[in-house]
Amino acid sequence: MIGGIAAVVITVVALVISISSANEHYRDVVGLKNRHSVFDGAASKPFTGTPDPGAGLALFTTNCASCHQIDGGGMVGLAPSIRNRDFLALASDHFIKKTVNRGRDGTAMVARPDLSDGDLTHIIAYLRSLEVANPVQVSVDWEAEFAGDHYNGEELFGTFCASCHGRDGEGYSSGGSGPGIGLPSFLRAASDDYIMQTLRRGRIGTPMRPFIGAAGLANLTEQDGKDIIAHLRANSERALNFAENAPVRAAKEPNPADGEKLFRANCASCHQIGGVGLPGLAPSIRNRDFLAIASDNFIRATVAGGRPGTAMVARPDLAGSPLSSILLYLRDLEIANPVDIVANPDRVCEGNTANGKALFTRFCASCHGPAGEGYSAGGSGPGIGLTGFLSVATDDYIYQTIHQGRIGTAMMPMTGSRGLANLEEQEVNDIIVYLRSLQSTSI
Amino acid sequence: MKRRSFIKYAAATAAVTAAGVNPKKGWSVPDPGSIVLESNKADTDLLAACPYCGVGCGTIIQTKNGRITNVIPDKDHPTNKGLQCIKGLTSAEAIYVNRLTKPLIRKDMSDPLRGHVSATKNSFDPKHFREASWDEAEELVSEKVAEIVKAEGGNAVGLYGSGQLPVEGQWLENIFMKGVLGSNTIEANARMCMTSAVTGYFKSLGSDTPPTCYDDIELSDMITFWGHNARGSHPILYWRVADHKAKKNIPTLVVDPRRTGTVMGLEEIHPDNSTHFSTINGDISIQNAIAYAIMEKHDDAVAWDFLKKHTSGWENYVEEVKSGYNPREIESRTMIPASEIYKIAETWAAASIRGRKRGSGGVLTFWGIGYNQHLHGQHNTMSLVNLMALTGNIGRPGCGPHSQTGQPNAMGERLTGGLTGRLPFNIGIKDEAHRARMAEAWGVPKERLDKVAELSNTGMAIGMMERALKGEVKALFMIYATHIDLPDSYNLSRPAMTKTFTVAQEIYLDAPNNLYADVILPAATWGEWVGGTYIQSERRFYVCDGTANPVKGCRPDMDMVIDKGKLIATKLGLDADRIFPYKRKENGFYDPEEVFRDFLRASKGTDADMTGLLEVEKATGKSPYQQIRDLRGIQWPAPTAAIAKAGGTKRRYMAQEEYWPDKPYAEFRHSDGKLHIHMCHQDYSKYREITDELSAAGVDPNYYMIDHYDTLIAARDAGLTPELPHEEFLGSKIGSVPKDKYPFWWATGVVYEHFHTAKTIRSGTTSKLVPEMYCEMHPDDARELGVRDGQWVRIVTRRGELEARVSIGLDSVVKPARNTVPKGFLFSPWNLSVADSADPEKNRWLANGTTHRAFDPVSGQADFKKCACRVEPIERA
Repeated sequence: MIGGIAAVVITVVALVISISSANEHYRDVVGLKNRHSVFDGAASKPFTGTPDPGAGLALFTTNCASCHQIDGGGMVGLAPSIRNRDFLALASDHFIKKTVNRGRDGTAMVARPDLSDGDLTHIIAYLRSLEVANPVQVSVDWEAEFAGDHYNGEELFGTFCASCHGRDGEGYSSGGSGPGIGLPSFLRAASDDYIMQTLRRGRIGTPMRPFIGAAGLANLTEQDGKDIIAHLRANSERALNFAENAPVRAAKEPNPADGEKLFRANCASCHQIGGVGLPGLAPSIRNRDFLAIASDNFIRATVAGGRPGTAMVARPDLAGSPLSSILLYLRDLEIANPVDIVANPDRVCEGNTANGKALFTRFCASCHGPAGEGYSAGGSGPGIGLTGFLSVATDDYIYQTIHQGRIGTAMMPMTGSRGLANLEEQEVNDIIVYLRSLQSTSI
Repeated sequence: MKRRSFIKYAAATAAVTAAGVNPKKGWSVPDPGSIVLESNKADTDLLAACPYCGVGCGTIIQTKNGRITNVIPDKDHPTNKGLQCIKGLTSAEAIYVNRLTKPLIRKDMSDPLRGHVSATKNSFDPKHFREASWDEAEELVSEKVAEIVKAEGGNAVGLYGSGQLPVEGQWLENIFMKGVLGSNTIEANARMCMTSAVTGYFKSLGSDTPPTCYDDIELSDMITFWGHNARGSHPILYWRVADHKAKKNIPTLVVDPRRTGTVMGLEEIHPDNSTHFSTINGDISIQNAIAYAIMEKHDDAVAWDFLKKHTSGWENYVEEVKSGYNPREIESRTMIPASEIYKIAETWAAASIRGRKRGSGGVLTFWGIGYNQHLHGQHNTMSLVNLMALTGNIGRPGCGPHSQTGQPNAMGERLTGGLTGRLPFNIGIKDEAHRARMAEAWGVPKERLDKVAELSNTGMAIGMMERALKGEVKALFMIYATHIDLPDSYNLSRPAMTKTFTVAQEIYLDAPNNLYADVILPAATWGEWVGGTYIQSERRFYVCDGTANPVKGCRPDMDMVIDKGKLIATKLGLDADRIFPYKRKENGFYDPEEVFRDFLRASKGTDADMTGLLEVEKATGKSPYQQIRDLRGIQWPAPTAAIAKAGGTKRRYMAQEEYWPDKPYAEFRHSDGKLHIHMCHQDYSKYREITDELSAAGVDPNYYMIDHYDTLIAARDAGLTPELPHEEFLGSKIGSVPKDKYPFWWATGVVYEHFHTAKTIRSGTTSKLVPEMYCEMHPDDARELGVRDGQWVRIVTRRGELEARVSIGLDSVVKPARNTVPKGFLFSPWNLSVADSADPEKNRWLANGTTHRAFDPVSGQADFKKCACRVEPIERA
């Protein structure tokens, strides 16, 4: 239970941080000098021990690999390559720590202030233990600001960068292969010279080639590079003036096509492409039965608050138009045999907790864990005993799920002739009452 | 209102406007906004293969209001993984520019049956043409062509096709030419691109196409490039190699006269294991010298077991290499010091042994178009395969010979057999059993194909033009291919097309073919057709979906074949509906997938059997195109459902293929199941004598190359070049060399920013990046000539001339300044041939006006790399 409390605290901290960082955007824009101001990160103390790449690998595997992949090579369209010769030559430890602690608003890279300075030191030691056959050395100026013609930069960006990074540099959510280099969250962390060196060097093993000089994809000049940077900076200021943090231009009507792109960029790493889920990691959500039972509000609340204690982190940055698009995408699933759920939002279940616990142990615990802890207990079912879930799910939601099951998953109906079990109405109520008891004790 | 959204569009417009006011360009290009499409609706995010080189990057076409607005790289495609080069990225810019919209008929047409030659050819001035309806134009063409076939036989009609056409179009063109017209005179731009690799593979391995795949790059222990500036011509491939080198520190070898971007890029990663051999024409000698050095010093690297079990001819090869290719004794031919040969032999040996021990890896070899473009091009391929076989670098992942193609679907041209003497699926027309099968599949009488098998088209593409000059070929179809890719334009293709009744299917108003066309049919281009498939250099079939919403008035080339095929077949008394059993769909176009299914069905039992896709469709209902889309490509062969579902066959030979019951071959495709080693030689003892005889080509109007096969064969067997410069005149001041002397080596090729000669010069971005014809020159040559960087000069050969800006070294003011050339060697990109203007009155940059028509007697490929020239000042008032 202590773990649960800690998770809630962390979420609150994360929320506070993401709100305060949103305010910082404005500060940064107004006082441009402040752009590369040192970020103190989480309140964790500076680490003074010995960096341990082995510990770093373990931490990397649990915290980073689902998007950045086991080898840190990234996945085009989802997460950039970070165990990468060129990235590591450019990125300072400070830059990496800052990125992890703050996250990248508008992307699946959520803030992780819960990772201590020690954790990050180990992770960085692991990243830097990469054996490099042909090392490169680059010194990045983290302070210098370049002057450039942002009109020219805009044109160059449209021709050379937008195909991968999106027209506004919004990144993967545009459906492209390049990360969101136009996002304020990136531009706040990256110095002008960091971008310039990237343009000059590219990133080995990725679609990002050198763009400056004769070696690369385009034969840009240094000044062209500065112009592009000027455009990125100017554009992000403008974007901030229009809509805070919106990863997709705010004015855009929500639509399923954008929803699919956003889903791929933000959700598919766990819920899989197509939203079919992966047992043990994330439930199937582009699913006939889930969508029939879950209201839009249920999904909005889940995305906004996350599921504390699970890998489902809070994504308040997706609120509004982006999430509307994602919902449209989820719901535009073609269904051969639609089901009709008669919802009763006011349903309140009453029953016997002890009996419910016995039934839960017999029928539910083998997948959902002895106390509904979910995947973290090693089962294939999600954490339905966690407070985060129970605080969003109504009794009716759980009731309907037990009756209906989830097509295409291991969650079979638990009542009636189709069911895995043949539970009575009252037995279902007992289980729900038992689950509610978990909620009350875990707060 | 944001400016941003219109940047690309604006960039294109800006360039267009610039072209309009620049008197040098001479063309007023209409505002793309005034180009009207058939409708304002089209799907978006269509999957396609890039329209440019043969690497075949996955590309996504985006549309708005029915119009193609943008092209982005497909991050889910296994070849490019989200990367694309500057050409592909900007390919949408060249689509709605200066388009033809109506069929045009030349008022004064050439009429070869009656001896009339049009007086207005060599011009596409609108006043020489009248607009016509599709019905009228098609009726006219079919009437004329049927008349010629009846009077002179089918072989009097020639066709020049393209590796830009999808497989479906190529397949139908071959039916049309061989099956309907009864002509064996069918050629394609593939001939100038990689038929040397094709014929080399046939001779060595028994079937066409690379046995390797791109994923071999990341497995290899050494990578070599022969006559291949991959950084310019196949950038995605080069970048994958460069990244692999940087990560694994593998050694690389580039054999190229120039210090190219490929050479410098690899050296930048690690200079110590990056080797550059700057040789001119010495490749075969170098390969034999490396073989010599390996046998002398690294016997453990020689794959004796493999040679004995799986090859024939190796004894003779070993003996002749040992007796004639001691690296110390042939430095004059290799142009490389023996010590360097021994060094690379040691590296080669180590990589071969490493790969063999591991069961994966070894030496992976790429070669490009330049390597194929030799009058001993077929030998170049065979010689390379010899060395690969000697060291056991074939038939295992991570090694092998891998040719690259120039066109995105040159591989389709090869597989559909749209060339003289070929039938689809890697079998020649002389094979009677296969002929019977194809006649059945095509729905044409077998006797018709039997007759075609007896006909010849000596000299292939160049021979077709010489035969037209002689009056044997009376009509020509030019389909999605330009004549300016053929050598010696002023003396060969242009006079030939002046005499013939010429039909051009074109997209641009100012396309060079229009200068000589009697009838011009406006075609839909890549992206705006209904769709089709391309085959990429690793045998990967990929879809090219389109908007099915072309510029108003234009038709897909595939539709044009069906229509003209039906009309002419009927006029010739054939059963048109049996041969072309296709009907237009609701959208007004034929469905390419119907044609594709027929193509798949016909592949049954061949070494390119693709019928697994049909089995999958039968079992699951998923159409062949959808299977290809879902897997982002299927590599042939895919003879069973299981193989098709697994994405086809990654690698071929030595049982690397999955088993299938009626596989028609053993370890290699030859009937004896072996790899055939044929010794290839170089012998310069009669160099001057033979090249002196060849110099009559293009100069003496009565000298036809096809009448001098003996000379070509002698030149090929000795591994010579078409010309030999008068080096004794090097060092003279510009303008002071006698008029019959040509001291410089003269090579044409490609530049990174452009693809061939049509689209990228019309795209705003790439035409701005490299706008002018240039000539790369060594600084010492410039000093001796007395010319400076950026100066315009004339390059003069025996056959023609062009103007170009001198570009010296990496700091040149003339873009792109990315390569350096050896002393006595000049290089220009042919891409800019008509970037000044296609109008002969104003055109000064036509690269192939200068080149030599001598060709490889087997592959038919011309040598654009080894001509001789003189530099002259520009004396203009």
